[in-house]
Amino acid sequence: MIQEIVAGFSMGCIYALAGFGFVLVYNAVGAVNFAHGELVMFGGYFGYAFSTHLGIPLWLAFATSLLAMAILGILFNQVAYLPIRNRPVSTVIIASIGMSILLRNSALAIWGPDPLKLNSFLGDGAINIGGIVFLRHQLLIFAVTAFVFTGQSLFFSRTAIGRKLQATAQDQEAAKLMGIKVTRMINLTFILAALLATIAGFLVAPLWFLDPEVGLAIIVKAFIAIVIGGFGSIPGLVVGGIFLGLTEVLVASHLTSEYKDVISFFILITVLMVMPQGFFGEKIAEKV
Amino acid sequence: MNNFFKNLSHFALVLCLFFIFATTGLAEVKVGVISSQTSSLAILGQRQINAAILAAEEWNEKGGINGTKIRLIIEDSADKTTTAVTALDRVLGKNVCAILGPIYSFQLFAMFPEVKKEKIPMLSTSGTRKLTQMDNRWYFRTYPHDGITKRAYTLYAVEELKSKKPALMSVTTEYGKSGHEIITNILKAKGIAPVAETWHEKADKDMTGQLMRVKRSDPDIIISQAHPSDTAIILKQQRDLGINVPHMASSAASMPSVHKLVGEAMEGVYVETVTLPNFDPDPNIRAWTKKYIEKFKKKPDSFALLYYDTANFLFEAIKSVGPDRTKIRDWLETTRYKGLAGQYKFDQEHNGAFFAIIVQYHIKDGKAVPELKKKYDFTPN
Repeated sequence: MIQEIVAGFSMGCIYALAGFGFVLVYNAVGAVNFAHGELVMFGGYFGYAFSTHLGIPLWLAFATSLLAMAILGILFNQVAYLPIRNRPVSTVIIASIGMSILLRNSALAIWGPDPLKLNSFLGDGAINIGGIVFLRHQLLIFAVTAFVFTGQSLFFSRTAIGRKLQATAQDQEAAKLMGIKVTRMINLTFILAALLATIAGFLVAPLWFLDPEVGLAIIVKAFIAIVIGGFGSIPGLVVGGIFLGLTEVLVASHLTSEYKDVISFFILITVLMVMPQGFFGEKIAEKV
Repeated sequence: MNNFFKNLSHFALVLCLFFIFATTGLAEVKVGVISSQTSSLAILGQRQINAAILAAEEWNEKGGINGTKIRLIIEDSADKTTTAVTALDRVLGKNVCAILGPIYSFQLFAMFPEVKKEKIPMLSTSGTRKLTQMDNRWYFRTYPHDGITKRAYTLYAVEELKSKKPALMSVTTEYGKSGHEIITNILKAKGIAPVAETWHEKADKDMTGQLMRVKRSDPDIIISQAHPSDTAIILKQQRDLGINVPHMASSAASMPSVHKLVGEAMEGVYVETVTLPNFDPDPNIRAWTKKYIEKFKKKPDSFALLYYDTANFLFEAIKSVGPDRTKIRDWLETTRYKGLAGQYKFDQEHNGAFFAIIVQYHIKDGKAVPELKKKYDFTPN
């Protein structure tokens, strides 16, 4: 049972990390970016390209990927969000779906359909503690998840730029009146989301492998984690991700693997029926 | 003067019709190729398209079929049935005389009603058993079906590796379900019941749950059938979780791209496959593999080699009877063909290949190298 909990916990951390950039963009500009999975995928692909084709060390490939993804984040904003941000929500969603298709097919054209593996910073080895196997890469996932989610809390509450981003997220008009350059903050949000996608990509790729469809698989699971955690809630995202990861692994191991997804989704629907706003979602008070 | 213009316009019309007829009808033998060029399924599909292109180019370099060049009409079936059916419509719209179809059975099943209605010969290298049990006289299979390959690797597990407690891990696609049924029936006939049976989705990225269930059942072998990515995840996680029993994997584990993902965990893995184009000592296959790699900058797999044979088999049919759909079908039904990978001869159900091999992989200098363990030939008398 403990082995399954370790695996479920690690999957949950991946879902949470992959969903973080999505939540960040949603909270900051109210946009639902369905192409975020493809950004995670591109983060991994850049890492693969720099470390394998250029032959540079993995840490340098990571730094270069962060830079490349920051540029991609700006481009994404300039092409698929800023020009249409005042249009109806459905237009923004459709633009993000369009970007998802564009990025997926670009990956197929550049790297081909074969699954590719990005090496882990800690290698392929495992540590056996009392019969429980911990992959070194799983330990890295746990550490990075703890670091990222603690760091974000400090970043948004303790730094000037973090507070400006929060102000922009809460009320763009008021932020503008306070002298905050809103367009710059939106650009920064997309850059941060792309950087988070790179981190997630480097953690996903050694376990899930990279192929042009992996972004879609990531965003579906991350989206479920976001919904059951409470849309927009960052603690909810972590709890929702871990809940989903544990449910999937434990159901497959102890109940049925054939109907694993059916039972997992049934449990998730039940949770949402009992708590429609998710674990940490804000209750919306009825206006009289 | 009026007559002059009238005659001129008639002449121009005849000239136009001649050119249209000449460029679209007589000058080429048109053959459809439907396979996955995009989506995750392109891992197999692109290699098959490459194989068809290679075969057609070789024929065209020698002057084509009876002096007429071959033109492949290539359409993408991606990973959906709707895309596959649309691709079929497009290919049929170009008036092809036969089609080289996709490998994926769920797409073939969706295309069958139109294939039968249009009476067009379709050949493909799919393994799903039921494809040739659908009473479709226009479909021809040029890959050993699951009844052959699954029989080979189940028999090897039971008779050669002396397994008494196998655990089965299957993917929930038609391929996995069909294979699972065949394996359990063979085991039942041998008086053996699997100690665990697990299922996974093709897109699943973690198999810890399934593997822990297998581990608790204390098997003496794992028999798995899966597609490339999930095969790699199963093999890697089995090693990570310390489940030290032999593994008999389906043909996806013979693909070079899977070996790159699995790495050291390929050591000792048994795999059922049909050919080994990258390791075969046959000089003709070696030459073909070299040519393929030079042209496409990728290693071929067994599916690509059999697709190449399939394309050549079809071109031979067109050479013998012309681009007539019914005559092509009748010729295929009655003719034996010797390809690079082996002999092809269609039975009543239109199954054309009956050979399989079992190999065991060993890691040498960081690369997975196969060792031939046993050849099976179930060709009916």
